[in-house]
Amino acid sequence: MRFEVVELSPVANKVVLEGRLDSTTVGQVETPFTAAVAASGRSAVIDMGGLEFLSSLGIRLLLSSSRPVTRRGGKVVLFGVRPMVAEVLTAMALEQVLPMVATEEEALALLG
Amino acid sequence: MLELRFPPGEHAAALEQAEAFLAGRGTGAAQLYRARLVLDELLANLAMHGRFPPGPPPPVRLEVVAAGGVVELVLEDGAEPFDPRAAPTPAAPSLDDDRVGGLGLALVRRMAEIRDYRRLPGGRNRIELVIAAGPG
Repeated sequence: MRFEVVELSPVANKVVLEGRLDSTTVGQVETPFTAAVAASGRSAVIDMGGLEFLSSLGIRLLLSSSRPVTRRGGKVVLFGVRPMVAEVLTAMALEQVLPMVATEEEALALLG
Repeated sequence: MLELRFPPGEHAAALEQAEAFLAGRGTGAAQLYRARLVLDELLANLAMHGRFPPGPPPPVRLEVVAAGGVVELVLEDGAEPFDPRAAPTPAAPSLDDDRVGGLGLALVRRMAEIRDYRRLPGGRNRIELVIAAGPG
């Protein structure tokens, strides 16, 4: 499990997720990922294209790290989600909380 | 059939072996994902919330079967009784709500059929799950 943060603008970051985010890997990225998303003070688009696997602990991490961003009036948008990962997110009604779009351009457009 | 035994909380290698076993039997990508998800959720749940009698926790036993396009999983553990069918359904997640518990079991019920739960003589939980091939 790896992630990378790309500074897109003074108000937005892109976070690229790669690998599997489940109970066996979430501990490897929990603290730095939360710091990167929650503490940056920026909105974020999250590139999910390289995320092969997501379980509920990964969903929890996405939610808990996005909460401080939305509380400050920012947005977190997911893009490029693989079909099975999308099935899991949709099953948990997460797309109503964190918008899911196809491309980075669409994600950036949603940040406004 | 694949049969594995491992200490609760140490399931990373077992997940890999289960996935490799199912992939080797031609299990499709969607079914494979659901099987791994169901196992990850139940084993993480056991590691985080399972209450064990004093002493070293007894090993988990996992049985994986792929037959006729159907994946069958049997999980046995030595924790206090826990019936995954009886767990309450959580509210939908929200960014304003810190209580995001119960997501894992909700996912298990969405992705698999819990065919049976029973308490075995000797005080072990036995959960039997079925994952149909389904679309994809």
